[in-house]
Amino acid sequence: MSEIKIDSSVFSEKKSSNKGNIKLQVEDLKAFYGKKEVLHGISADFVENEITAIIGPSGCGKSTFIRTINRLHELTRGAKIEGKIVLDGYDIYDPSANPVLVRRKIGMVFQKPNPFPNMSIYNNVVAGLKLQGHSNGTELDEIVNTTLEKVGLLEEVEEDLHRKKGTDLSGGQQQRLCIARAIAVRPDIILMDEPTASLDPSSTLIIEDLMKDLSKDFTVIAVTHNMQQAARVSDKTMFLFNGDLIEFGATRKLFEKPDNHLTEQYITGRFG
Amino acid sequence: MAERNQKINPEFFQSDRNLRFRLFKDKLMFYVTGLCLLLILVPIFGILFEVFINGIIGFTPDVFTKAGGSPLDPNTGLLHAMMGTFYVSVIASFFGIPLGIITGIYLEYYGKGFFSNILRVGIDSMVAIPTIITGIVVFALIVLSMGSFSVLAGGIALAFIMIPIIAKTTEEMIRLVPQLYDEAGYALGLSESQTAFSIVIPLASRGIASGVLLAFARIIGETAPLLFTAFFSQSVPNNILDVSATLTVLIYQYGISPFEAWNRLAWVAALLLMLMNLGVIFITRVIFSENGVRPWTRIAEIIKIAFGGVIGEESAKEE
Ligand SMILES: Nc1ncnc2c1ncn2[C@@H]1O[C@H](COP(=O)(O)OP(=O)(O)OP(=O)(O)O)[C@@H](O)[C@H]1O
Ligand SMILES: [Mg+2]
Repeated sequence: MSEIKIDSSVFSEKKSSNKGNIKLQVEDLKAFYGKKEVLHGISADFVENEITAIIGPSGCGKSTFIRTINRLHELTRGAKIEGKIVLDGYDIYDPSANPVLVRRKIGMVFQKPNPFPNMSIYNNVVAGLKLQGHSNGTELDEIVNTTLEKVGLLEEVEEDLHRKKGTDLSGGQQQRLCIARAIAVRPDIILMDEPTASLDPSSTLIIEDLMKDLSKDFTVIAVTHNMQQAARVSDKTMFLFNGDLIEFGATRKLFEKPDNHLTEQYITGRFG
Repeated sequence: MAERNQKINPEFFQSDRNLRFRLFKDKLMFYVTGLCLLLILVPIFGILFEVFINGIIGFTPDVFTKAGGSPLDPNTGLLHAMMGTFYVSVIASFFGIPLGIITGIYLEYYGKGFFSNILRVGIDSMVAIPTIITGIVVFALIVLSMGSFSVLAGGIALAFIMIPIIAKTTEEMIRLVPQLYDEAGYALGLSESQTAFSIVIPLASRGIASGVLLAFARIIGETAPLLFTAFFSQSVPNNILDVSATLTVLIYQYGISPFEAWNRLAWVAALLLMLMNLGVIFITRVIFSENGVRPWTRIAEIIKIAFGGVIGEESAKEE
């Protein structure tokens, strides 16, 4: 796999010229914890530069699903998958694919903000790059600046880049820092597992705006428990129930005129 | 209470009586446990006080500058034993710290197969083996084959005591680092070893370091394994192959001797040892306690741990 290119102007370069391209294809994906099958054959296509929201009741397999996309799932002992996940035409589960390199293409933001507590804000942003061997100081400086600017954190922390630890920030700021850390390695896809679940309402709105903004440069797949959030930010919505994909389509259509009875019941709050 | 003038539901009244009884029990327990604490603190302070006073009484500058000699010679000191203790603890640390940490990392990251299970059982039983047995094993393996007692053999015996303690704390401390940091590393496209060595182990480093210091505090107080290995002598060791006194063995040798001058020096050695121990524990606490902890809370903790260390190894294990 090619080196990750460092180019600070890249954020606006992708733009929407390639709208409509299928970035990621999931084909008949089954996921297991030991013998227990928790995803029962899911197929879905994700379009480049779109935001897809994944909704569904607790335990339906949302986290499991997005963790199969960056091959984090297999790190759980006894966990495995069947099926295919194809990124830009390449099966990421092909025996010759290196999961470490796959993960460089597919970044992730977690439910609980997890900046590295022993690193400064600066080092948190470039942790991935530095550990992957990039050491050019001026380039790193520039990436820190553009990335923090991108997540709207630059003004707030400019003075403290080296002085404060990542964990000295507020929860919402920490989550934006984690987003900065994820996008600094220039992935193609950003996965988010309930990125606002532990945040207050105003931080949540900031992150939601940021998600829309990120979709200009990245393909975003985000799990959310919050139906309004899915409606507000996403282009497509995927409804999972008990490990099955029940409905997947344009967000507006899915919320206004769902095809499936279960979907309707769920979005109108009758269960879950 | 504020609603006195209103009607009282008999059930509420009932529960109020219960509450008063519970408050009474609460108070009673407070005094009972306080009394127990006092019962424990008195002998602890007694020991510390006794060592301190006797140590001060026996103290002269010669202690630091003169080696041992005849019990009738008034100009002898503890230099030989201090150097011996210095040598054995440096040698023990030289082998014990890296091997202990590496073993701990190995157990946490690769400790899944048959060999690792044997290693783990071995480490667990090493912690429980009486240290005198460690001493006699090192005696058989090293002292007998090299033909003489030496500080090297003493250091190796102590290293065997350090390794399981450090290995277990290292393993435990790495395990305590929340999974979310591992996952953050993997999600950034770092390999397993990069995640381990650049993220997780640094996050555990404080804990690992305090494990190392506690193991160190533990070995400077060891006597039994040194009796078979470094043994005892009245002169300062010239190199690591020399036989040598150490503070603990000297306390034993001088303490049971009939000579008053030697008894006096034994007390001084006891004081030195105690101060070293407190010092190490103090460093552990101050450097490695969480940021933002009040100094007083720290000192209270230090005292707690220090006393625990004097009485037994209970608190060392808790740490
Ligand atoms: N480590 C694990 N071992 C075994 N089973 C697991 C494990 N993690 C999750 N599961 C099971 O897999 C199923 C899907 O879990 P998952 O975490 O993907 O659900 P989720 O939709 O993300 O739920 P939530 O909304 O509560 O986060 C659940 O039945 C859960 O019990
Ligand atoms: Mg989940």
